[in-house]
Parts: sequence; structure tokens; C-alpha cells
Amino acid sequence: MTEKILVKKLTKFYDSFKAVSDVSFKVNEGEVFGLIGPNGAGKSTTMRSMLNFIYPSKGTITINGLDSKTDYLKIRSFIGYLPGEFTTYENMTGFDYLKHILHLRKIPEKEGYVKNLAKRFDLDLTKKAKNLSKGNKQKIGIIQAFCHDPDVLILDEPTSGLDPLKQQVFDELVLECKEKGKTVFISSHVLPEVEMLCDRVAIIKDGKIVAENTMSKLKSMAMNRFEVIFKNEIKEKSFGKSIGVKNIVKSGDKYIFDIEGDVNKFIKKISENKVSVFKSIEPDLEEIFLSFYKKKKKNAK
Amino acid sequence: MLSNILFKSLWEFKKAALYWFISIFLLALYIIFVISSIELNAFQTVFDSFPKALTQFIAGESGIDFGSIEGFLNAQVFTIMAPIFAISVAVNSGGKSTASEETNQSLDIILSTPITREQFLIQKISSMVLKTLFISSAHWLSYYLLCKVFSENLSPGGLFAICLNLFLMAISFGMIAVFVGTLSGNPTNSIAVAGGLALVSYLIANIAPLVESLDSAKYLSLFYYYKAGDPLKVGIHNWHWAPFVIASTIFFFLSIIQFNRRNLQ
Repeated sequence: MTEKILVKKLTKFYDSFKAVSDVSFKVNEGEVFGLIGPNGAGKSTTMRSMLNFIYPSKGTITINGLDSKTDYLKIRSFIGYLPGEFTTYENMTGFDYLKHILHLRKIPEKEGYVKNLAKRFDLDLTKKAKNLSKGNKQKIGIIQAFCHDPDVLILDEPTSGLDPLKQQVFDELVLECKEKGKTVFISSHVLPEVEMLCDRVAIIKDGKIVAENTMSKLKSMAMNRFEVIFKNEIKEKSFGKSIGVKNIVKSGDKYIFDIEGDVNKFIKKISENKVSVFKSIEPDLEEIFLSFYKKKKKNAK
Repeated sequence: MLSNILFKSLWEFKKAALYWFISIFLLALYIIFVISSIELNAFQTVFDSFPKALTQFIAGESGIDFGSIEGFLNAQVFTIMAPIFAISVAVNSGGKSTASEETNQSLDIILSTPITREQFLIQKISSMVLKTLFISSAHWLSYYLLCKVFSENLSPGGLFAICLNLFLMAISFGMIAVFVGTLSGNPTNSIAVAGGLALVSYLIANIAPLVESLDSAKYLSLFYYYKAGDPLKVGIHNWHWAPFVIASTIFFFLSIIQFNRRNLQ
């Protein structure tokens, strides 16, 4: 698989404050890659460094083999970008704005595609931006990122302000891009969306990547969750930290165990009892995220 | 009109341009009508009785000369009103050129297209220059036409010279605003600093000559070079245009360097 985006040891200082530190990851061609993390974790700094808006203190970024510092003009010709806080010009209609962007990209002939995208998002392009809601302005932002059919999309919180129906339209657009072999880099707070769209995910915390892998591997790395129904009575206290149990939730006769690390001791303990149901449950991305977030916090202490 | 940043910026100025032209033309109509309706020499005898310091403060170093149309226009239009108009447009346009696009994050999208920071900045500066040229030309055209209509004898060369100085001086302050904008990324700061410098420059040019020990300070003021050679009467001065060109060129290059080296907000 060809590496489309390669970030190597990206570090950015603002005076003595380290916004991102030794961030490294790669995104393959045709992949949808998600970067998740709390506010101020370094997501936007990473993305803005890719566009050469921010100059890295250390490290390199290459996109399609081109250096983000020296070949940024070539890179911009095949990139679609949506910033975290998209703003259009208040006195321009959506259509005029998008026409302006297409002219700057020197591809005015794509106006037909713009109208098609607007139709999918149910967006009236004849209205001035000052008369549009936040969600509708965001649709203009999404359209300007997609309208030139770019090979690489860098999208910072793309569905912010969109209603669920339009989020679905956005998801469809991303999946269509993926089908066409395009590369998509997304940062989002909507974790179910990242889980649904992304092939691989990196979790960033305090400017450092704390985990980066495919969704399935992240799930196995984060924690194991088991649902168990016992035939006999059990003493909850006997399922403690010594066998890796992090948390127990009881609901009726059903127990949910969260296990950290090796599960063998836990399974051995379970086998000492009479069990009617024993199944593994996959955690969702939100739980994985929280699991890594808490793990790092604990380590820091 | 939306094919590039310069055209877009000028396209957005079209309504303001109309209002500016109407205001400048109406002011010119009022002034020329007054000039054609009064006996200028009789008027001058009143001002001749004023202390020199007061007339210098009101109308600049040359004092009040209401005995001629050039003197009347100097005092009533080209000392305060015209510079306020031209500098307002230049400073506002220059101060917002990069800084307000950066503050509201519309710059991110523009610079995600294949455009360099220099190209963006040069187009924004060109827009500021053309808007200021429009204001200066509107002054020239209004007074030229109205003097013809009212049969007033005003030298077109002198009018051109003062409007040229007006244009060049406003551009200098506009470039200072651009530079502060590239430095701070804040439109309020850039407009305030450049506008404040224009005010200080005006005060230095008009007050410093009143005090002998401060007299040489006037050479530090751009306002001094704007009117000191009395361009409306004399025409284009040999070198008084040079400080404007030098200041604008310096701030142009400083802006490019600064805008290129800084992380965008």
C-alpha cells in the first residue's frame, strides 16, 4: 500500500509550550484515518502543519511524497481542506463563494459538481452567508473541500453543526471518496462517526500520539469486556484487580466485567464457577478513547 | 469579478466606492459653490488679523490663504477632510487585508488553494492601493469638473499634484497598517496603530513649526511632505514624493517578510 501522508516526529513549540511532541503516523492511499483527542490535544496543530500554515519546530510531513514545507503549492493543488472553525464571507452567496474558491484553484468548470453537492446537502446557494444557519455554513465548508474532487481530504471536525440527516450525507461522501481510492484524514469529536468511517485511528493526548492502529486492534488493546451469567452465587470481591478486573457492573443476573491486560487469570477464575452465559463484548470507540485517556492520566500520576 | 483575490476585494468595494464618490462630489460641490459665491479677498482680510500661530495650526505651515481658490481649498479640503477620507480608506483596507481574514479564519481556505502567502498579500495590497487611488482620483475629478462648471480658475496641474501627494501619503499609512496586520494578525491593532501614527504625524507637521526648538521635528512627519511644497499652487515638488515612496516600499517588503515567516493563527 502506498503511503499518502507520512508524519515523522512532528514537534511544535510555542515559546516553551510544546503543542505537539514527536507525533508520527502514516496514512495509506485509499484509507480513511481518524485523529481523535480532547480539545487542545494537538489535532488542529497537526492538521495546520500539514497545510504549512504552522511551521513545525522539528520533524517532517510528506504528502504524496512531497515535502509540506517546500512543495506546499503542489500539495495544495490536490488537497481539500476544511478547518475546525469554517468561516465564509458574510456578504457573499454560497454560490459566489464556491465559484471564487474554484477560480482560485483554476478549475471554474467544476461549478456543475458544486450544484450537485449542494443538492445532496439540501443547501440553497443563492442565499448570502449572513442569512444562513451555522449548519448551512458548515455545508458550504464541506462542499468547498470536496468540490474539486481532491485526492487527499483533510477535515477538521467536519460534521460540527450538521443535523443527523446531513451527517449521513457527509458519511456517504467520505465513503464514496474511499471507494474511488482517495485518502481522507479526519479529526472529530463524534466518535461513533469516526468508528464508522475510519479504517485506522490515532488517539492524541497532550500533543502525543498514545495509540494508533486499526479499529479492531485498538479495541483489543484498550480493554476486554465480558458478559457473564452465573448459575451459582458469586462473591464480587473475589473478582479483584489481582486477576485484572477493572470494573464490574451488575444488571439483574448479568455481570459485565472490564478486564485490563491478560485475560487468562480472569477466565481461570470464571471457570471455578458454574456459568450459563459467557461472551465477549466489543467496546465502542468512546470507551476505547476514555480507556487510553485514563490509562495515560494514571501513568502520568 | 471573483476570479482572484484582488478582483473579489474590489468587487466588494463597489457599493462603498459609490458612496465615497457621492460624498466627495457633494463636498466639492458645496466648497466650489461657496467659493463662487463669496468675495475671497474680503474674506482674507478677516484671517489676516488672526495670530500666525492660530492660522498655522488651522491650515498648516503656510497659514490661511483665503485670497485664492488654491488657498481656500488647501484650508477647507486638503488639510483635514481629504486626508481623513483617503487615509481612512487606505488604513482600513490595509489593516484588514491579512489580519481580518486571519482572525475570522477565512484565510485558511484561501491558503489551502494553490496560492502563496506573497501572492495573497500582494493582491490585498494592490486592492488597498487601487481603493486609495479611487478616493484620490474622485477628489481630482470632482474639483476639476466643478471648477469648469462654476468657471473657477484652478490649475489642473496643481490639483493633480495635491491629489498625487494625497494618494502617496495615504498609501504610506495603508502600508503601515498592512505591516502591523502581518505582525499581529489583529485588524483592530493594525488600524489603531496606523491611524494613530497618521494623527501624530498631522500634529507634528502642524504644531512643531509653532515652536522654534521643535521645528526640525516636522521633517519626521509624512504630513509635512504632503503639503509643505504647496503642490496645489506650485505643482509636483522635486522630491517631496520620495519619503512616501520610500516608506511604502520599506513597509511593503517588511510585510512580505513578516507574513512569510509567521505561524498563522
